[in-house]
Amino acid sequence: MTNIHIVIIDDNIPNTDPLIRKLEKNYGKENIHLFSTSQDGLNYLLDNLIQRMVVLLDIRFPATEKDGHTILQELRKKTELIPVVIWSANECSQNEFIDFLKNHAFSFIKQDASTQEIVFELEKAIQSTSSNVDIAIEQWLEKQDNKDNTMLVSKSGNNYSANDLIKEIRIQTDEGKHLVSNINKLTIDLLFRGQEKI
Amino acid sequence: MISMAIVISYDDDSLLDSYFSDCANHVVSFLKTTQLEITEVTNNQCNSAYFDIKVLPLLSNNKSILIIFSHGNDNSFLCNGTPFLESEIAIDNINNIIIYTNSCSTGKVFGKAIDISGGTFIGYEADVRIPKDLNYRRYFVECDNWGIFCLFNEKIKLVNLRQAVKVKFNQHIDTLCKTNGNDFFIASLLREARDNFVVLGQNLDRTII
Repeated sequence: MTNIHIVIIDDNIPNTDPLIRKLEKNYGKENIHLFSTSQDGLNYLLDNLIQRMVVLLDIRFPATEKDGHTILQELRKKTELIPVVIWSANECSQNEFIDFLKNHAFSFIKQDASTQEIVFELEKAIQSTSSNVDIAIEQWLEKQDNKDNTMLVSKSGNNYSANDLIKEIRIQTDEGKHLVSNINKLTIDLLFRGQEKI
Repeated sequence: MISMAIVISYDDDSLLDSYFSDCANHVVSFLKTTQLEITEVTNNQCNSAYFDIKVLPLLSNNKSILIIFSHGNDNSFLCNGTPFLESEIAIDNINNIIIYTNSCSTGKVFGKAIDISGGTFIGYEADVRIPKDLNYRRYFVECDNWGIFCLFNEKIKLVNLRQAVKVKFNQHIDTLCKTNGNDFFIASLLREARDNFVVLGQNLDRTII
């Protein structure tokens, strides 16, 4: 499976924090990305949508910066496939909570949570992506010998390499959504035909 | 009763390689085992002029089935990106025709026009995706052509054709899902093609031979 990238967007956490150390140890230093400004974090996410990622996002940022709500909202305009764990020192108001739910926040965790609790929450988010259809397709595509070679051609003349397809799925283009929907339809089809044991 | 098959195939790009001619060869080798007279139209003959002069007259006797393996869009069959048969031409020149095709999307507009004009259209009403990997090709070729075998070998009625073809698709879908490579992705393409396969026409409660 492709590496998971953990993106932490928080203006208060130094890269020497025990949480960062722990995550680097568990997932590899190169897969941990810490951003102290919300825009930089958002830019990284939007520039790397084809990666498999999980986000730990603070809500409050200085008044000159986008807050966590805006970051999540802007991310969701592009993809719903990246789980975002909301991490905040403050209690959410009811409206904030509803807003996060609307934008498919994965979960909420208080900033005074222990390193172990945060890692556990991130692990749950990572596991949630493992059971997604897009990941299943990605895993299948990853097995292809040369991922840049054309592997799928339509009779109307379009063609895609495995890498093209992974990208289409990750950034949730119409074609990507179509492929994911196709797998769901296949699953339903197998169930209805009594082939669930296949 | 159908006594002649006109088989048109056109491979105009490097993407699908010889997919369309593979389909045509598969069908022709089967049809040669029947009593049908066979006319083949291949790449260099495949253009609208040849079609108008040589093919259309063959279709006027209502005893022919036109089998087309080529790219397509909603309204036409394509060679080198150019239509060689469009629904307007077909309606004006061919009555009661039976068209069998594996072109994508032609069922959407062309097929409905054939239906309205009293003919029969057998094919796909949406885009169909084919894997480049030759190991998977045979599943798609066989499903694309299964309707021909059903019509001429099993002598099944047009009204039952969709279900008969669906059985073949399901057989291959299940095989692909069972393989140790878990080829569910390829199976999902077959599932999609299966559900886009249509038989359109007014008079379907009949066999064609």
